[in-house]
Amino acid sequence: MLDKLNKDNWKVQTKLVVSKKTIFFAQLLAILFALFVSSIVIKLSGLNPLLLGAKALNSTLGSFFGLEQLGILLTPILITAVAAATAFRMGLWNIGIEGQFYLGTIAVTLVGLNIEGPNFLILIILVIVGIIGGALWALLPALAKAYANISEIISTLMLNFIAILLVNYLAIGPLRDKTGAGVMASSARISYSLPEWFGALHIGFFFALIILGIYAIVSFYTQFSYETEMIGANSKVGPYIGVSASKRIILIMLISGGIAGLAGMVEITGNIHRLQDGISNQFGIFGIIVAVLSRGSPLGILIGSVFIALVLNSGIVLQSVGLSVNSVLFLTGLILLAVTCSEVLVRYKLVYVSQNINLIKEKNND
Amino acid sequence: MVSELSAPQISMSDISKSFPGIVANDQVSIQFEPFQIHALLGENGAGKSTLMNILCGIYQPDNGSISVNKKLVKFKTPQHSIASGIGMVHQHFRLVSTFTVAENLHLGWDKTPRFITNKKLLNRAKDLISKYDFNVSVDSYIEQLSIGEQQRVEILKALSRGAKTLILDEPTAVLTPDESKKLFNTLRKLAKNGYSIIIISHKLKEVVLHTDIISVLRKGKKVVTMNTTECDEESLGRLMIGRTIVSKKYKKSVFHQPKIVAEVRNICANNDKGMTVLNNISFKVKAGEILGIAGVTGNGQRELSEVLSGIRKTTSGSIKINGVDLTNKSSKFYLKQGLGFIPEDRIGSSLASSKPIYLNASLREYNSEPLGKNGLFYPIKAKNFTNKLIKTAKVDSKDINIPVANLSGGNQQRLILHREVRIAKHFLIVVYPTRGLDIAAMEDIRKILIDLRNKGVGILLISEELDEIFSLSDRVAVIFQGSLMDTFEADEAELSQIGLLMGGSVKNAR
Repeated sequence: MLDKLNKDNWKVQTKLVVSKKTIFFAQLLAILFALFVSSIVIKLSGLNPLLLGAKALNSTLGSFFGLEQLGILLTPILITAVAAATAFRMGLWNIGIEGQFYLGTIAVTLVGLNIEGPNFLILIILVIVGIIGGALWALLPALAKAYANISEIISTLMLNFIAILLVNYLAIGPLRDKTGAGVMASSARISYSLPEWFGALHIGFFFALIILGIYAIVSFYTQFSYETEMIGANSKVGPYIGVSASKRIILIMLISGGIAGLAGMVEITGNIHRLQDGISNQFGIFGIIVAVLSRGSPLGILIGSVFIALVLNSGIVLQSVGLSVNSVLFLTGLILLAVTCSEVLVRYKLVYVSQNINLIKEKNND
Repeated sequence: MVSELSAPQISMSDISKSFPGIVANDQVSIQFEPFQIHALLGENGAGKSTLMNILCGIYQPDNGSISVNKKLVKFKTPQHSIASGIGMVHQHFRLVSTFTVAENLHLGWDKTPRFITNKKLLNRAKDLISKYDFNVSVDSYIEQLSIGEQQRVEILKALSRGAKTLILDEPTAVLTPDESKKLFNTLRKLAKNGYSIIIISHKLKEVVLHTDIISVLRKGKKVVTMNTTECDEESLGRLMIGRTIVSKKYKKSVFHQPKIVAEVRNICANNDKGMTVLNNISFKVKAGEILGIAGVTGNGQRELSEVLSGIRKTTSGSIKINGVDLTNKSSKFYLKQGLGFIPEDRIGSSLASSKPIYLNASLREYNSEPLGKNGLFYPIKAKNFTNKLIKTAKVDSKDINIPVANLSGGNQQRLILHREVRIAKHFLIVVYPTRGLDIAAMEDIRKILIDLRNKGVGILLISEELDEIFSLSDRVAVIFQGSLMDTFEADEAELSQIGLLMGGSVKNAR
């Protein structure tokens, strides 16, 4: 018995195969664990966790307004998640979804404020403009990765900060709305907006579902995706099948950035209508988290996005009943951290190995 | 040559070691004595390297014990093992190619003074070389040395760190016959001076010729230890694979097909560093013919195979496959002309190891029916295809959805072989087809190549094993420093002549 308590007799081994079912239950367990810890924190701050939880869920899922809000949050997360998953499929860590999203909004604002025409036509132009904006922001890291093998993780991450500050500068500088009371730190309102669909939920939600659908079909059933996946896993396979790995890297990065830019376009024309500081609401980051946790599976992206939208919306509700912003951020972070950890931990197992190392030690001591 | 204290007696008893999914060593007990050259013989995967890595402190055994001069020891790290006078020369040398011999000898050595001038470094190295009676120039850079010389530096490195028990992992795998002979002379001298030499090998001939005692491992277990004088190649081969080696004579049907499947004219090409590695190579391969290309590794074989399959660009010359000029076209066009390619580093360059087996199996046919059509790819059809393929290829796997990396090396090789053989309608390029395989698998592969030839496919066989070249080829050419030296009919070629050409000697004489 004592043998089993000795830590030398236990070893951590990697599992060869982990089933999807196992991963799903591990993530579920992680969420329950995080909620349990959260409820202790809430209890400690003097509130009733169960009551709060019920209230948060009820106000999100129990009312038409709540569902609308959920949909509005869900839309950009779905699109950014597809953007991130597209790059991850090739093993490219495009951490710059956030920055590309910002550039999408900048491009749309610049064009949207200076163009006139029928709403429908202009929206189509803005879609293209948003995609180009996001794609251009991904171009530099793409070229650096493809031709100089410079890590896209660092370059895309760094460009995020530039994009964030650029939006900040434009919103309170050159593009600042001077017509109003002069207190607004944002651009003038863009007069073209996505039509509303269900109440306040704009048609962008529908776009997001279509984008996810296209992503699913392309990733499962096309030779393009097959090549991308194989070359991403081993770039030496590229010349073997006659596809240039560097060109494919650039193409995938541009598509990923373009989709992120499109998310920016949808968000600004559907929800915010003005260029303002922090316009992305960290949707780029949430998209990356969803893409990682779902391992690029379309169904996983849908479930993950809904989950994060639910958590975000609950956070807003919880703030309205007196929980501080920091507590809400803590809870959100805790849940995401737990799920991410479960994703890693599920790949290992602890095995008991009987060893006679101890015997050897004893013999040598004699 | 020095003769200080002789090597200790080392005994490993009941050593077991397993990795996820395999038992590499199963209760192996073995003794190593000074004054002896001890061979560890076994097929790939027999557990030779694992056993030696345990002795070197790289792996810890799950079970069993090691004793040095009858005192139990435990090697937790390689440093412990070095302290007991055990040194290993790995198959892939661990030298810094842009450093000099003297610098490499002192690298990572605790006896190297903290501050030292270049001159002192050279002098210290010279002392070492004369102490052990080695013939290497201390101030040349590693990259300027031949493989044989690099190996001597590695051995010297181990000796200078006080190794009395010297382990060499497949030492002759990369050497020319002449270099191998020199190596064994050196090893014999060391043994006479009280060193204990252990060589890991699967070459029966050299083991019988040059060792004192032989231990045979099979499937992780030790089969036997016996004096070399009691062994012969045939009986050892039987012990090694557990059955008699199939006769190496193949029946080849004679073809008189005039059709030429590959025609190469005056091609030149550069390597990855931009240096010319192929000089004016020209040859033809007919349908139903195997052209063997003999040569020591690193004389342009890899580049030649890549140029011929559309992976590497040529700087001049032309390539026709199946009568179509494909010079500098992408590999897609080569594939269309019925070309299969088994590259040197096949597992590294023709598999995506983290991806499922069925995706890797589909790599050559994903864009042709039934797996794909008009840009679409059908995963279910790819899975059906893979199930059939792994059956014919005898790939041992229950689930084709798991990453291909989970297959053993032999299974991965078989998967690639059969994948390429399927598409090689006219021409197949194989580079070192049996490298890293055990004897049974080698025979399988050779049989497949002969069958393919008899079906009328032209084959370019690039190999470093002369026996293999001679038993399979219809014609033999020799490559040396990027040029084809000469081409012979296989029946007329003489082994000694080929050996000389491989070393470039005839060219020098001309």
